Amino acid sequence: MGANSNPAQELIFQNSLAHLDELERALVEAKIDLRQLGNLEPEMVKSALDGYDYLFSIIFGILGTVITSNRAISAFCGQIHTDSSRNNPKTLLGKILHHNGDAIDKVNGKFVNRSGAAADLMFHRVLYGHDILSFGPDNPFYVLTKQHGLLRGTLQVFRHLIADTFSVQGLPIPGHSWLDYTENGKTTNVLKKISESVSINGRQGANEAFSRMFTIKAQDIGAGGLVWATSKAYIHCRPIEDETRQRQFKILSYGTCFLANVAYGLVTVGVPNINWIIFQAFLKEVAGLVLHSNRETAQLEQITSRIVAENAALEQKVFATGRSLVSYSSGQAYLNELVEHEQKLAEIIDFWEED
Amino acid sequence: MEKVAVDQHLLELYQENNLDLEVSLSWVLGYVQMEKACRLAHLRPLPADTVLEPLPSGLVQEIRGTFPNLKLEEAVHFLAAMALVLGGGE
Repeated sequence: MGANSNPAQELIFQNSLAHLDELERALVEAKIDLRQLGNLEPEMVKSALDGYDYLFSIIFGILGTVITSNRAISAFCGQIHTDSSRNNPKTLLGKILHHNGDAIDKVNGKFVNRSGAAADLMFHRVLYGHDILSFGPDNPFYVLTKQHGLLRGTLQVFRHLIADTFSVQGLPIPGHSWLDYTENGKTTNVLKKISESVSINGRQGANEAFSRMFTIKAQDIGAGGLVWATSKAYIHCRPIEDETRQRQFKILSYGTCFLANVAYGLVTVGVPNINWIIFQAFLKEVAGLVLHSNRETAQLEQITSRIVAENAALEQKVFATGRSLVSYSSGQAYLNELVEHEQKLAEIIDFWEED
Repeated sequence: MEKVAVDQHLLELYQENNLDLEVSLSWVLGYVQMEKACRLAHLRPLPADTVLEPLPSGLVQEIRGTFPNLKLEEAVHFLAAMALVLGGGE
C-alpha cells in the first residue's frame, strides 16, 4: 500500500488478505481443485460410500439372512427350549433357562387368555402372560413376582422370556396385549387374526405365519448380532471415521438383511419373515443419521450466519472508505469535474512557469 | 418318576422329530378342557409293542385327574398322539 493511504483502509485490506489465505489453506486441505469442477461431485464427499462399502454391507446383510433362515440352528434352538421346559433339564443351558411350571404359561394347569377363558390352540403366549408391556394382571413381572417373590420372580421373567425366544414359535413382540379384542364373546388378538387371514394351511399355517411375522427368536437376535459385529469390524478395519458414512453403511447392512428375510419368507412359504431385531437396529441407525444430519445442518446455519454478519460488517467498512468521494447524478457532472481539475492543473503549471 | 407303557412306534416318531414326550404331553394337556375330557370312557386298545417310559409323577397325576375314566396308558397314548400331530409344542 502507498505511504499516504488511510490506516482504516490498510486494516481492511490486511483482513481481506488474511481471509483469502485462510480460504486457500482450507481448499488445499480439502483437496479441492476449483479449476476441475468434477472434484466437487457428491461421490468425492468423505461421507459417500465407495464400492467396497456397498459390496460388504450387502454381504453382511445376506449373511444375517442365512443365519435367520438356517433350519439346523432353528432345530438346535428348539432343543434348548424343550430342555428348559422339562421338569428336570439335562443341559446347562436348559437349567439356566428353566421355566417349567411358571404361572405365565398355565393357570391351574390350563392355558388361558387374558379374560380367563381357555386359550386358542397354538396361541397361548400371545393371549396371556408374555407381554412385559401389558397393563393388565397378566403382566409377567406381576405374575411371576407373585409366584416366586420379588427377586426370584424378576429373574424368572427374564429366564422364561429368553427361553421362549428359543422356542419354535418364538416370543410374541412386546405390546401385543394392546391388540386384544373380543370376537363372539371370546378374547382374541389382532396379530392372531392377521396370521389366520394370511395362512394358506389352516391353523398350522396360521401358527407358522404368526411365528414368522410377529415373534422374536434367538435366531433373529443371533443374526442381528452377526450383522452388527461384522459391520463394526469392517468400519474398524478400513477404517471409516466419518459418522455419516458409518451410519449409511449400517443402514445398508441392516436394510439388506431385513429385506432379504422378507423376500425369503415370501418366496418359500408365502409369508414375510420379519426380523424385528434387525428392523429395530435399522430404525435406530436411520434416526441417528437424521439427528446427525440435523446437527450438521444447524452447525452450517451458524457458520453461514456468522459469515453473513462478517460480510455485512466488511461491506459497511468498504462503503465507509468511499464516503469522502463525491457522487454525481449525471455523466456530464463527472466530465465537468475533470475539466475543473484540468483548469486547476493548468493554473499551477502557469504559476510555476511564471517563476 | 412313574413308568408308563407307551406305544413303541409313537416313541420312534417322537425321536425322529426331536420331540420330548414329557414336554409335549405337558403342552397339549394345557389345551385339554377337563369337563369334556371327563366324559371320555374309553379309547382304542394300546398296541402290543410298548416301552416303559419314566414320566414325572406330577404330570402323571395331572393326566389321571384330567381323564379320570381312562386307563393311564390310554390317556397318555391319546395325548402323545395328539401332541405329535399338532407339532409337539409351540
